[in-house]
Amino acid sequence: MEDSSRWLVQLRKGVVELLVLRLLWRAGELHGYAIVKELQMRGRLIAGESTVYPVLRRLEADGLLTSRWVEASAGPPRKYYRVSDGGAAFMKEAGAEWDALVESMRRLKGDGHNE
Amino acid sequence: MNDKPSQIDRYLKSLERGLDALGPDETRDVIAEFRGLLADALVDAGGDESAALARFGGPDALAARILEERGIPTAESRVPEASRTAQALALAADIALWLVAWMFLFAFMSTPVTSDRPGIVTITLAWAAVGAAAAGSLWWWARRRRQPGHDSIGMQVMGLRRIRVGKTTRLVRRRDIPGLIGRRRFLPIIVAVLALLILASAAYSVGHDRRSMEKLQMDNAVSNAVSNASIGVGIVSDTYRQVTAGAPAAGLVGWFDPAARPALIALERRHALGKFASYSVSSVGVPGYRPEADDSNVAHEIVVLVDVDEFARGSQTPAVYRYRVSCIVKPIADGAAEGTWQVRSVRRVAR
Repeated sequence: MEDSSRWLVQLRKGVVELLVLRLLWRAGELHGYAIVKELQMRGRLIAGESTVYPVLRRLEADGLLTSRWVEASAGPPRKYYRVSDGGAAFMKEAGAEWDALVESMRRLKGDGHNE
Repeated sequence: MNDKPSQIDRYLKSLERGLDALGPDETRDVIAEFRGLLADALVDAGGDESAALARFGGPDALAARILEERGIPTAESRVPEASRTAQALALAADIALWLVAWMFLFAFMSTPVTSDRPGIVTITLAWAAVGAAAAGSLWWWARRRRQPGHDSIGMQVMGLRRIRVGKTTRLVRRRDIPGLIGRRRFLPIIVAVLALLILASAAYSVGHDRRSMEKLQMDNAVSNAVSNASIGVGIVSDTYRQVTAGAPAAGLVGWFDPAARPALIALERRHALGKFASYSVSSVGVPGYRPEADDSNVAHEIVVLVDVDEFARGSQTPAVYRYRVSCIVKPIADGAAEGTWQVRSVRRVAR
């Protein structure tokens, strides 16, 4: 049980950046809190805020995201993120890898049933 | 507006400290972003700061995650491990505390309890506290020694703390941890003072018990000595009473050791010759009395010296005879002992 939860943590950690990139690619521009809410609505892979924000900081530092500050109508300003050109290239490449991985897994599962 | 820092402000302050390795510009940027994130979370949580913050986890863990993602070593990872000597001393302090607690219990329970033992409830509770603290401290070492944030008393006394570094933990000196200086520094001192007070009170209590027991033993010794003296005086008094009443000496020889029987004959003769018209009997001492022997069943002799002043008719100057009465105690089976009181010797003494 403990091993499977540890594996799940590692899996979430691995895919969260791909999810963030894909979400931002579709949405265009979102601030951090909205990214977390969107991801949480779309699946249960993202555990919470403490998982996503550190990844956002890293993706930005790696040049895969760009950001800008936008004054809010109420409260402090929000930081909005969008996918950079480099991020888009990375996302396509990583997305292709992911799709191939999923396809391989699906086919392997099917082969197993046939044998 | 309330001037008191809110939970969110305190959280951001802690987060800021944890991000020290990022540098001031990026740290400012992160804090500004989290201020906005927390404002949104607060709205979602209906204004409940605790609920909003709970979604982000602890500030230290969050800072560590951010630094980890950026590949920047955390402040903890730069803290050097405490020396092996300091670690060994911390463990030794815990073991010593544990042993002292149990030795105290042993001494406390093995000392006979007197009814006037001072503060017995307080001291028992104090021992329980020391024992629990010591046991808990060892338990940390045995079961949770690899978990950060669980410092044993020995660790605290030695100024050590276990911190998490990545997936492992490390025992470091507290003073080497940035931002920790000044926190919980007084705890080891308080523990040490408390331990000293408890030990002092325990020592006083045990000492009081010993003094009480010594007094009791002394009282028993005096009582035994008086009792023994009474027996000696009784034998000599009865001898004189019967001799002066005309009883034959042959009936009294059982009270006299064979070596002392000529003295009994001499007494009978003195009385028959009217050498004394009156007498007085008094105990003059219990020489060599050893309470520890007399209260036991080992072979020993209890000696009582009895003086008899014999007064000739019309004389104020007595002839003094000193009777050595003793009981030779011999152990018999089953740990019991037996002995017979007899007059061992009689001699005339000058006063």
